[in-house]
Amino acid sequence: MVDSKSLEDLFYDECSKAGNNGLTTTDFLSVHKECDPKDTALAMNALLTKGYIEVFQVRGELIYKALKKEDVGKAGALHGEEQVVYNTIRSSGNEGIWTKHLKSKTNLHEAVIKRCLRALEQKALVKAIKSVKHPTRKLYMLMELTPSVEVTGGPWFTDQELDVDFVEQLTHQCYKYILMKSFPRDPSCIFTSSHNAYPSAAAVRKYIMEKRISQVELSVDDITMLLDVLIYDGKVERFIAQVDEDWDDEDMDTESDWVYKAVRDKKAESAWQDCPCGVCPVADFCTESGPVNPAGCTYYSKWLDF
Amino acid sequence: MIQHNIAVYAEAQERNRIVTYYEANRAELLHRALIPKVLIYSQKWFEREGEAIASTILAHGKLTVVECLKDIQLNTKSSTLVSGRSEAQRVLAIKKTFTRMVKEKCLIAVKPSDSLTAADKDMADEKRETDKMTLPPTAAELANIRAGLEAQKSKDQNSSIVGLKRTLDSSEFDDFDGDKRRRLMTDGDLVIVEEVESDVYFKINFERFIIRWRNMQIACLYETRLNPTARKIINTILKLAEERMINIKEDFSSPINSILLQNSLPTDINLVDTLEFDPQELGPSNTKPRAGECLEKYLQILEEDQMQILKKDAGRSGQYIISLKAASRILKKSLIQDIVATRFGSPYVRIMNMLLEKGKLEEKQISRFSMMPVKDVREKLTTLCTYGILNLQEVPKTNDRAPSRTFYLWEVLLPRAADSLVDRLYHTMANLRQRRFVEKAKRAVLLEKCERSDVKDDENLLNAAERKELETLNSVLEMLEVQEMRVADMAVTLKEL
Repeated sequence: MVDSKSLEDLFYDECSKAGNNGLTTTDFLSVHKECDPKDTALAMNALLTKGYIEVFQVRGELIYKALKKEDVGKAGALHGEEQVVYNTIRSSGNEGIWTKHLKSKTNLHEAVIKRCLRALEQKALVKAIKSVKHPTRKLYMLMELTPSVEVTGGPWFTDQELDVDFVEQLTHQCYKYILMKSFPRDPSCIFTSSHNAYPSAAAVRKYIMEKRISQVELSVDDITMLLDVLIYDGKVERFIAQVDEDWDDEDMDTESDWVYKAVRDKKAESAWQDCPCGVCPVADFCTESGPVNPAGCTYYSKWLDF
Repeated sequence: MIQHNIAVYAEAQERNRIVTYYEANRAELLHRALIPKVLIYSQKWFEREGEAIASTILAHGKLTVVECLKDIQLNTKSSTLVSGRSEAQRVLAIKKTFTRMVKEKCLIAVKPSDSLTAADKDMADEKRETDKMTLPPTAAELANIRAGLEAQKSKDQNSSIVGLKRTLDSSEFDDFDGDKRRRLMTDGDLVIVEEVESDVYFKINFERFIIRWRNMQIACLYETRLNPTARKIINTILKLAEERMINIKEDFSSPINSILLQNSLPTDINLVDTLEFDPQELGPSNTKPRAGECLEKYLQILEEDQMQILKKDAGRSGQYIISLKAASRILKKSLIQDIVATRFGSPYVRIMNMLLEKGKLEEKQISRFSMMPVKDVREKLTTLCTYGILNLQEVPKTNDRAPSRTFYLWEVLLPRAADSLVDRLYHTMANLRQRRFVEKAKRAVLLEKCERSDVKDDENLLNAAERKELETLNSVLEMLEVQEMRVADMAVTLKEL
């Protein structure tokens, strides 16, 4: 006969061994035949109230999972609804969970959830965050976790908003760097087609990080996003680098074969926009005999005023 | 109007009488906005005589060389003497220039059938073919006939150019006229009164001017992307190929040999110094290769350029062709980009380019790829859509077509965007012209006074205020006219290329 205290320990250990797959009562009893099912049930109940194990229902069977001891310390101090809420939040990981989903998962009343969340926040166990994807939703996650990239939007977001200035500045720096590498110093000269020093995304990243232009750590993917924007702006072009055997081993840090070449900066000019019609906000209503017409147009008068 | 090629007619038998219908020749009408530019470039390409010929022909619609010469002499009697050349020399120069302009297809012979409506001509040709058959033609046979006629038409377009060239090579002017006449006589459809005259009539060939302007634009693309040397090379290739260009819509230019190219390059071209070699490419001697090799290098650079306009002719080495279709697309695209950038700003161009490259995208994807907040993107998309640059495609997920369960996909259709911009450009041109009339009408009294014969002789009859007003009017008119010309130029790029 095992006493209740050691039975609890035993069950907890077995659960920990089972890991993520969990453990059923039948599994436990088949291994430890000496244990009485009734005592086991009592031990399990005790563990559940203390928050050492979690219970799930899979295909009609109850499965028990052990929790880490350090997590238990916090959850164990909680009781009843608070614990349920805490556990649900914890299971959402670094993605966070929306209050509405919390409600549907726990089956608790909204008022109860609100009360629990307030209590948990006071104890500094959970925190509220905002998602970039759904700016109006309030998500909760454990205090010690940092929100995932999905939630924060990566380095481009500050306070859940796209940092347009930061992006613009960085793209401009990238362009300047690529431009410098794309043409010889003499503006009337061009490189021959065997020239192969055009920068890759990794090279641009290296430059940006070395020059300390960005305070935030940027990955090659982040830089590629910026370079894509430059492509859409028509400022750089992308092509597959020429493979030159002699030079191959020198640039081992280039992961992709894409290299970037700048297009010479050209000011967009359009003769049409030099006259008022090209920029006229009411051009769609302008007719010969209508209230807006070229004969009485004030934009024209201003334009033709010498 | 028929004299000026801006109206065409068709005759039809209705009961027992023949009825004539008239139609405006829209293409020719719209080309009239380009007249100032045609005159400028006639002078650039064919000197003073060229401009005189072009303006005389434009004033009359179509003319024979004799009439043209007479008219020029009549109008510039006094000024010829000033230039210090004898009358005979001048006549010779004009005749020579006229020949050159015909040879370079800036002037084109007018056929009697040119005044008939194109659709009617096609129908008549078709009828002639079907009349030969005993039974009414089947759909397949009809299609066959149409294809045959179409091929014949383009062949005629080709051969008449070749024929013209051959006769011109024998260089005697009278001979050429006679030859031309004989060719026309055998055409067999001399119906119009004007053609009873023994000489051939010529008109300005706007299409050739547009081809040349387009070629210049293509070469300029390379100057901005690479350097002036690249422009000169492309320019030379296009000049060599120009003779064989038939119309604006061709896909490729005729192949040009690299040796021929090398011999035809302008003398001031700098091939060697404008290339920057990598040290390992130069080798230990560290000397740059000679011009011939540098030209090869240049051609390689041009061929590998992302625009992909210059191509090697498949199967033949050392032959280069220019993809005119790709070039036209790039010209159109960059013009639209410039318009969007100056009208709205560069973020709009970013969205446009992205959609051009990726096809159809949703608002959220656009926001993510362009790194702009969704609310800004939404506003920009709507603006561009009302402007006619973007298209919106709805894809409902369910049958009820509820907006919340529908994908909204945006895309750019370049031809459609060009069409909508051309509409707006013509609107602007009309506005500019109307304003020109208004400005003149406002000062009608003053203008009337200026036209009086005593005022014409003695400018002092105008007081200071009147003179100032006249000056203002002239600068206003100049502004409006120049602007109209520039807008017309943009319309040509979007519409004709």
